[in-house]
Amino acid sequence: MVDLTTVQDEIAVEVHDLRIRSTVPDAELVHGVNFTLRRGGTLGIVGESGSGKTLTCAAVLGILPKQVERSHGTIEIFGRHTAGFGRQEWVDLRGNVISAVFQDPGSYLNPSIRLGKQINEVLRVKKGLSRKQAKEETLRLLSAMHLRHPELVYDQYAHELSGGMLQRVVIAAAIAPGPKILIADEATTALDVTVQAEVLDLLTELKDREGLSLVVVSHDLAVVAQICDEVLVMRSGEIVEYGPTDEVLHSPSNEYTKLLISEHERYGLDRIIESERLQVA
Amino acid sequence: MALTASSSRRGCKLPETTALLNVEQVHVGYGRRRGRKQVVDSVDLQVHAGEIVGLIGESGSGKTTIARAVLGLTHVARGQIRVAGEEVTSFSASQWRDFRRRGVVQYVFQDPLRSLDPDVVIGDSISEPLRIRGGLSKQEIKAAVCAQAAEVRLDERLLDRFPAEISGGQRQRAAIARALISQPKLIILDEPVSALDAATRVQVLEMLLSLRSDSVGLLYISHDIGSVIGITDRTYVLYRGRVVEHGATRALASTPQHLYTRLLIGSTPTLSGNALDGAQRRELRAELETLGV
Amino acid sequence: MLRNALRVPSGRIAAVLLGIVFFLAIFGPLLAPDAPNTTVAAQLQGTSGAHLLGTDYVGRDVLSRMLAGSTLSVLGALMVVVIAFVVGAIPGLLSVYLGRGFEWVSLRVVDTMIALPFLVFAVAMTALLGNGVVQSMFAVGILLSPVFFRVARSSALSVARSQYVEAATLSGASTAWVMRKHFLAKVLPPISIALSTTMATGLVVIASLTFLGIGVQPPTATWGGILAADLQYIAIQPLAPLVPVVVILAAVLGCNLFADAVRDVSGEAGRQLLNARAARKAGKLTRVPRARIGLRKGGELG
Repeated sequence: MVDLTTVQDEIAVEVHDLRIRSTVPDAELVHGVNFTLRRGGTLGIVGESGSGKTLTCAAVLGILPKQVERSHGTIEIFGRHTAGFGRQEWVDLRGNVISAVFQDPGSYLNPSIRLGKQINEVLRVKKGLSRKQAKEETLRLLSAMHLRHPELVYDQYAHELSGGMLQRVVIAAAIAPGPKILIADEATTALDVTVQAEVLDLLTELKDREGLSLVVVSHDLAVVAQICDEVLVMRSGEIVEYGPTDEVLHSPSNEYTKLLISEHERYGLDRIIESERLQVA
Repeated sequence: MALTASSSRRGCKLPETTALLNVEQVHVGYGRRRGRKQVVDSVDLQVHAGEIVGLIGESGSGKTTIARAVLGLTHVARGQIRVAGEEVTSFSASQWRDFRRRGVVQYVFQDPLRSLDPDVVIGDSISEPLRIRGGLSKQEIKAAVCAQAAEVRLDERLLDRFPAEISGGQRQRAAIARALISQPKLIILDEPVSALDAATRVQVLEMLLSLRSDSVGLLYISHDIGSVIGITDRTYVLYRGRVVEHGATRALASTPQHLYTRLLIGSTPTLSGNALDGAQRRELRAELETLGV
Repeated sequence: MLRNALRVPSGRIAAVLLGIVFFLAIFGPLLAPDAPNTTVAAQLQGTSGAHLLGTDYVGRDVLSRMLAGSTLSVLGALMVVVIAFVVGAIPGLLSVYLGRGFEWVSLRVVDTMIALPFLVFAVAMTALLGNGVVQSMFAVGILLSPVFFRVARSSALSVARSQYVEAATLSGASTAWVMRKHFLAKVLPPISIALSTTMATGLVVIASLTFLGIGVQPPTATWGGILAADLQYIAIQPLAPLVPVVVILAAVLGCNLFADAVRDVSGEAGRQLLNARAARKAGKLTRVPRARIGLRKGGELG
């Protein structure tokens, strides 16, 4: 297994002029994306269907679908170029260095295997733990996810849990091998607002406690504004805005970004915040 | 305990006209499958002409069940529902059919891709309510469709296309046109903009605002607090089948009273950060659980 | 739907083949130049002026026998189709609307039928019901009904649960309206496909049964029977057995091509195909796109 943490651990992910194209039909889907994620930093990617955000993440994880390929540019993970990676190198990288959670947690879990066992499997394969050690670690992870009864959840099946709880289980499985980078691609989109807030809190806590570098992808600018220091806005395969969150929110340069901001100001809670002070606590 | 905001809240002036929709102490029982709670418990709700009323709740709160009860798609165990003066809870199947044909109430679904027949052209989908009702000639129907399309700013040339051939925003406009064509008095919209992209969302929300008139009342159901705040005058907050708070939307959002509303508002992401931090949210959540509301 | 099917090449070829087959079935016996069951010439002759398709091992005119046998061979298959449709499609449709009890029972019956081995069952049924074309076709029809049950049921289910039907109901639509305006268009393509593939199966089954000597007594002419009788003489006169083979194949091919054509022109994919073909004809495209990366329904690629 390759230990990448000693090499240049200041910059977690560096993407330079990434272009992605599909082969059938022949079209360029992502037109030159550049960004940098620092170790311990949080990067938000905002974009809608067709913006290229999911493809970009897929490229970083090395899971582009068939008939879609990287045609140009570099992706470096902790200083290592992933362009020439073979299967084994990706296997070594995934889980141990970089991990991801996606939108529908139910579809990433085996419906006929108890949840605890699924996390155990990750630990045993990736970290070589024994059965007993894996079980202990799984229970520790589940309670770290603020699941109220980890021993109970350990024995449950996916269909017995709500969306928010399932997502926590998936996050537990994703961070079990101890990755340094976690990509959350629309991880909270399908969740209720209050549950979403809890999961976002959890991600922030993981970042603070474990030094995780986060990439949070969402179509909602506010979600990204919550926990990310830097924001990237994508549209039609291109980056239209990139910078520190404060700057992007207060002095956006692109029309699309302005539209997203004005939508919140016109049709969102921000409207109330502007004119009246929220008294919630 | 649950404090319901009184109607003397700032900015909440109920019009004198009788309610278009009056839901009184409605109770909808458990669904057949075990563990599936479809409970709506002692809900009171009103919509008057000229109003846009919001109904917020998370999944499982019962908001869609209330809509379905009003529309006659779900059996009501207790309570009364009056729509435009008619007591619909005691309707028989044929009474429902006649009532629906009059087009007094209409419904806009969340996903137009599913609510429009994929093998029927848009123009025919829009005119369906009129054709079901009958009594109009082909030309009259065509004229009505064109007029309605213009009102929702849907290009006439798209009327001959199939749903898969037009964009999501255009589809939702078509669905709204279909809901408007029978000149309804009450329109219920269930998450009408969740499936749309940002630019289209804004356009559709603006269009909904423009529907406000003396003869129409809108019930806007959503889990997205943002859009509810954006367009509604009054809002009901639903939690586990009960209305825990209601009042003028602005006041409700800026100074929520009930624990749950506070948690909801405090969890909504905004550009300037959440109103509550993680610890406060957990505290509210714990309090909520112990109350067992 | 039929008009659209004719717009693709497979549909046109199918129309020609099936047209010929049905024409023969109806008018065949009348057009036979010679009496099909009497010896008219020397045995096993090849093509000649008097006997276009030669003679069989008894000396009967093959062409006449083929024409005379068309009716039985085709109508027998048609009977299979009708029975399969009635026994299958109607319960299939009803299973959606008549409640849980009926649904459960009908599903279990159909499951059992699917589990039975086909041709063996056909032979057994014929032995049971008697040696006649009608009986065997009846049995085969019943055996093939599960397909129609499933097609009718799944179409009815997906339509009944759809939101657009709910929307129509909310505007006061009656069940009859929903059937006419929404269900019919959806169920027609898969039913048509089932009808044509069942027809093809029916043709093969009746040919097989008559080949085996089951169901029809000699000297009655059937395509399968002619093949059976003359097959042993193939080394001497290949024409006699080959003719029925070619005709059966053509008929079956016609059915399957029709099914293909209907499938290709139905639904969204069908509309795309037809639009693309029309555009190509008008000179706007250079090729008809075959594969499309799914970009619909929130399943984003981007």
